[in-house]
Amino acid sequence: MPQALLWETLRHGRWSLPGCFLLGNLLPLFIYGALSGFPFNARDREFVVLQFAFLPIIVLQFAGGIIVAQGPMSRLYSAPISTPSIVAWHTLSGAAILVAETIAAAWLYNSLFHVGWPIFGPALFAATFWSAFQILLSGSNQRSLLSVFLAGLPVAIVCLWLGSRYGSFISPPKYYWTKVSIADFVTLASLFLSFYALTTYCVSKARCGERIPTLGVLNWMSRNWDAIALRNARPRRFRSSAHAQFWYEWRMKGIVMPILMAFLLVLVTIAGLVEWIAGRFTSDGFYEIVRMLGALLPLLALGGGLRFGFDLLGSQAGQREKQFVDVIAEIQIDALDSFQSSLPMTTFARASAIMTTIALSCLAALCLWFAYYLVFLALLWINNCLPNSILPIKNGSLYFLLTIIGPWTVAANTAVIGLSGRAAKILFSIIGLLAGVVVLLVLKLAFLPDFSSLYLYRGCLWCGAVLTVMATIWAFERARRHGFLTFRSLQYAALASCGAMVLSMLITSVRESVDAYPLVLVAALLTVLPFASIPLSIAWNRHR
Amino acid sequence: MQIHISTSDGVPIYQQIVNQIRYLVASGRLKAGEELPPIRSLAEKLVVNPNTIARAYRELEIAGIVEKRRTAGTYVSDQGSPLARRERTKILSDRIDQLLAEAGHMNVSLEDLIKLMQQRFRVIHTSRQQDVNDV
Amino acid sequence: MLTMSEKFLSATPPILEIDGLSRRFDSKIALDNLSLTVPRGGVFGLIGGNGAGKTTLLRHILGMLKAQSGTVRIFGLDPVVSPVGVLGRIGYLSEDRNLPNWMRVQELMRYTQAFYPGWDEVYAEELRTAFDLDPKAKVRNLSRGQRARMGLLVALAYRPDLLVLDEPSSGLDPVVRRDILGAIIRTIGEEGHTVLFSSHLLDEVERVADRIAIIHQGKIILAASMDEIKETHRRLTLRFERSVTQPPKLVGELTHEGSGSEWTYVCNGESEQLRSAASAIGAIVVSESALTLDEVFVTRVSL
Repeated sequence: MPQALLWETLRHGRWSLPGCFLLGNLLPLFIYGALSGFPFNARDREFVVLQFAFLPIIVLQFAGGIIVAQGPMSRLYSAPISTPSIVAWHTLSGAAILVAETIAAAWLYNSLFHVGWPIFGPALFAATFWSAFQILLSGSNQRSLLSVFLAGLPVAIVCLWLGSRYGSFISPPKYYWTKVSIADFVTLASLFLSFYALTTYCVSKARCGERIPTLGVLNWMSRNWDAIALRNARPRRFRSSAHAQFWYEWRMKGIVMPILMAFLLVLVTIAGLVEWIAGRFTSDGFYEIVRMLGALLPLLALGGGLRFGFDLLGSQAGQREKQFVDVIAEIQIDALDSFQSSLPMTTFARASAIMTTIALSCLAALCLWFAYYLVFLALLWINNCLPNSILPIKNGSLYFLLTIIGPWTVAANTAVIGLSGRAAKILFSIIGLLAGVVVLLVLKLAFLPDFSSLYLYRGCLWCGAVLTVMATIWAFERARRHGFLTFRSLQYAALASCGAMVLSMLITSVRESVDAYPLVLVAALLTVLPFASIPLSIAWNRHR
Repeated sequence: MQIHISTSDGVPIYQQIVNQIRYLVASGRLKAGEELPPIRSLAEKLVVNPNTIARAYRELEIAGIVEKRRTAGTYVSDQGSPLARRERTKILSDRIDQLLAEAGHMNVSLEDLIKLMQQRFRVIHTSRQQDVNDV
Repeated sequence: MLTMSEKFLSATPPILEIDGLSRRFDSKIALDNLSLTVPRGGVFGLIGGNGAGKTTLLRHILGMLKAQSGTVRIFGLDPVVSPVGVLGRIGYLSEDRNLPNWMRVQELMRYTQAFYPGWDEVYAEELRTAFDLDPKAKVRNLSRGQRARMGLLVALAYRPDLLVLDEPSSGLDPVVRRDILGAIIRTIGEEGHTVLFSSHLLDEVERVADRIAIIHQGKIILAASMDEIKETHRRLTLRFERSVTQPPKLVGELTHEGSGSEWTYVCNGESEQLRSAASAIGAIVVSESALTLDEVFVTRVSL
């Protein structure tokens, strides 16, 4: 039977396994390829950070492919196999594939770019990650966002633990994790086993169709939350349909980013407290982490933006006790749902509501982080241990600009993808484009090792910039023609675009490299583009 | 007022309503001057389009079985004996036609049929007497 | 003799006019040069098997799909060009009862109210109590029947000129079905309001609809009033003098079956015509009956 399962996984995943392997490797290959033009020392701090950042990302993407290949555990519920066996075979076979892929990826980077990735550590990490991920899949149900967070805790724990191998828990990575000690191995093994046990528990509950009994605390919390929400539930009417739609978008999608940020802040605080108790707390280290969270905002915005297109928590009937993984399989990434389509709302009104929500969502997440940041800074100041460099000298001004505008740009543009109702096609096209560049890079490395890949990247960047300029102009023209933008707005947009170009020229004159110019230009244009592309995207989806 | 609609025998719904009301009136279960339920409420009760009920009421009105009064209501008409008798006769005639047709197919002669009817009448009459005596 | 509603019907322009509508999804043809007119007032039933094109047609009416060829006009407007003007007067209940799961009943009512100026709060409250919906209950916790009722509530409360229902009774127990049909019947009491519903439960359609259209493989194969259909579809049992293996063709017949000297014909035509046609081929009419809508549908579709 286990051989049958393994065979089935491999056969079923003959597209998804290699596909996700390639997908996961795209980003590291792209970035390493970009850097390969310059001489670097793999021991540099930045490279450690890169490796530490890449590892969970690629492991997650590989895991996605394996999940698709394996299929949900629920399909075996009615078979005469005991629950522990089902879980064991899914976990073991999945972990084996994941470990193999991780090792292959590390070997790939090392041989192509000589970045010195360790092999053994990441492999163990991958295995433990997989078993923790199983809990996320089987333990969360889509009744409450809270269950997702709780079920995601094991994954967070594993990632935090990984961080500790690179330095302390909560400070940025300092050195590679090259030596795997016995203690590490034992810790990971015990984590693996305990996660396995938890997963078995969750799956057995799901198999009987029972809800997973959360701790009393959780029930108490959600009951109180409900009670509060009820008291504040609006008995009053909405002032206008615009208000109503904004309320809808906010409640359904806009709160995701601030909640994620709050969750991260809580996690960081807990990690900091743990470090304090362990006596390894350094104010400098913690400060850096807090500051980095701000830089994570655009990443949050990625998820938040996608949310605007995907109807994850579903409005279909009968989705009550489904597990999260089943819901993921049914994500409605297609047309606008039929209830929203039947409301008499213009595309312009819908677009305004969505854009307002995105903006406020980013702002809320930003304010949360900034408040936390200020509080911590104040604490440090009171205790007279302010860090030497409050802002990194090199990128200071840019940093804050990025933190404020960046999330909007990322969120709005990913929302455009989701709202178009053809997200799969668009995402695949983008990935295909990236893959094309990577293929070119690999070819170049194989056949023209002396030719500096710098030219390749420069060429791509300039092409991208030109395309973005053309796309922006086209989008605004179309939006204007459809009446989504008034002439006044068009003027403002033109003004903003020119301002963006001037700004990017000013910024790049400060920096040495002229390569940054197209990047900054594209970023500036992308900030303005959503005003036209969001209504266009919605209209494209609304009337198919 | 008990009316039952069936969609399985192909008879138009309004016709079923007309027939049943005629029967109720003729058999005395709907008395003269009694009000028929309003169109809308009967439509809801039977789960039938109000237009169908309206049509049925119209047919009954034309046949003189019911009448519409100005105060918006439909009432069983104050029928004298002739109308009631005519109704009863019509209903029984329809039944007899069916019986005769069947008998014809089975090749049973009229005399045999009448003899059979008398026989059945005696049987029912005596059993009814017994019921009465038992009670 | 025209009924009251039919007199009313002919005086006003039709509420829905579809002309030559075609639609394909990749290689599959969903609608094939379809034309349909729905008059104002009354109940219009759209019947067809699964995959016949009912939902696709209703989607075009709501503007969710753009006409690839042909025109769609509701209240004289194109739903793609002027969605607000059209949708503001349409109440829609989708087949999958799509409602925001996270809202409470009360919140959903308030939310929908914001979009429709004609929303009648008193009527909405009446409906809510009649449907027995707890205002504080979350939509995701409602049972299937309650969900259908909720969907109907938010579609009825602003008294739409056109109520569009996609398979309103599917998946519901008889009690809830009665409720839904009852609500439909109450709606059409309002003057000039139209109900368009698609269903494959033909006995319900028979009870409630004034006019019917049968859609099959993307085409309308029959569109007429209920009365017309009943009057022009009859089943005749004929007896011939001699046994025949293949019975003679009767004018207007759709199908026939039987054996020996007794054959049953299902025909399209009026009673009188058919009887004379029967005597023309030398047969005696043994019995004649009307067809149920179910039988009409099955016969017409399998031709």
